[in-house]
Amino acid sequence: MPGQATLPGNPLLTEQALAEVHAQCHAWAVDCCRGRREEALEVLQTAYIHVLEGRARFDGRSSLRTWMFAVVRNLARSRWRRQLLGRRIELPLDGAAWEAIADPATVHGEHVESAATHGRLLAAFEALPARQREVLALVFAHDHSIEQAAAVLGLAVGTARTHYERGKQALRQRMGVVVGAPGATP
Amino acid sequence: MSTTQQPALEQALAAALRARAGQPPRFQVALHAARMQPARPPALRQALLAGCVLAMAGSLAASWRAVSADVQLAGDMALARSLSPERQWRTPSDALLDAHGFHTPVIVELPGIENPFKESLL
Repeated sequence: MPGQATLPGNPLLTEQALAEVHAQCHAWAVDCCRGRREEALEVLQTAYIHVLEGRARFDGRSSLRTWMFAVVRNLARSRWRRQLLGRRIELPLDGAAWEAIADPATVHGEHVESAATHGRLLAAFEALPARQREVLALVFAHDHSIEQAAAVLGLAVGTARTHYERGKQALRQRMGVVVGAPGATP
Repeated sequence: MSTTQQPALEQALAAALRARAGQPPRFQVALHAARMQPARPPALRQALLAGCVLAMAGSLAASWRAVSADVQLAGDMALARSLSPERQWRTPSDALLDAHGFHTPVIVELPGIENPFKESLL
């Protein structure tokens, strides 16, 4: 079980506190890595190394989740930049690949849309500009308010709200229909 | 915005992103792997994490889980098992290990952890 003792490099953090946001940080890391799970594991682990060694230090000015999300995002972006410099960029998966990955039966037991819809949605989502993707993911998939999303991304609230509105509009346009709406065509 | 207020498209996006994320590795194992980081090459740590993911997915044999309920040990053993010289304990993670260059057997000593399979590995 995670301990209550504070972490050596982060006197305001305990293993228990970190454990409570672990699953959310993992999901956010996958989003930051655009669905590449193995890369997300590396990013998440690097985040823990930074936390353990005190290279990233929690000062309590934001919630732990907000702070950890920002750490994960920064590391993912650094990794992306290194890959870019090394010309080792992996292209985001296309819609068909997402359809193969998305398994609605595994989504926390909820009834969800078909895998094909997941694939189309994720393809449309990945085609959005980075900031719009990040804000939408934080708000819709990670239950952040726009204010909290702005804190994670280091943006002014008004800017985050603009990305949110534009991202939503662009996603709806790309999908063409409102998924699940009465009368919506499949 | 609460989930109930989200229009269908946003709810569907949230579900798709959750499905894409999959299951996280066990926290204790992830933290343990991070603590071991300076002594391990990245691919080895990644393999360790992959073992944890497999354990979570129930891919490991029941006998392996029975060796220890400790998730940290289970994760390490998943790695040791995958790296068996005889390859008789191969797990689905072999493909991942091969992809990261583990083509030859590697014996991993884990500080403070007794490995009952060490004899077999040697």
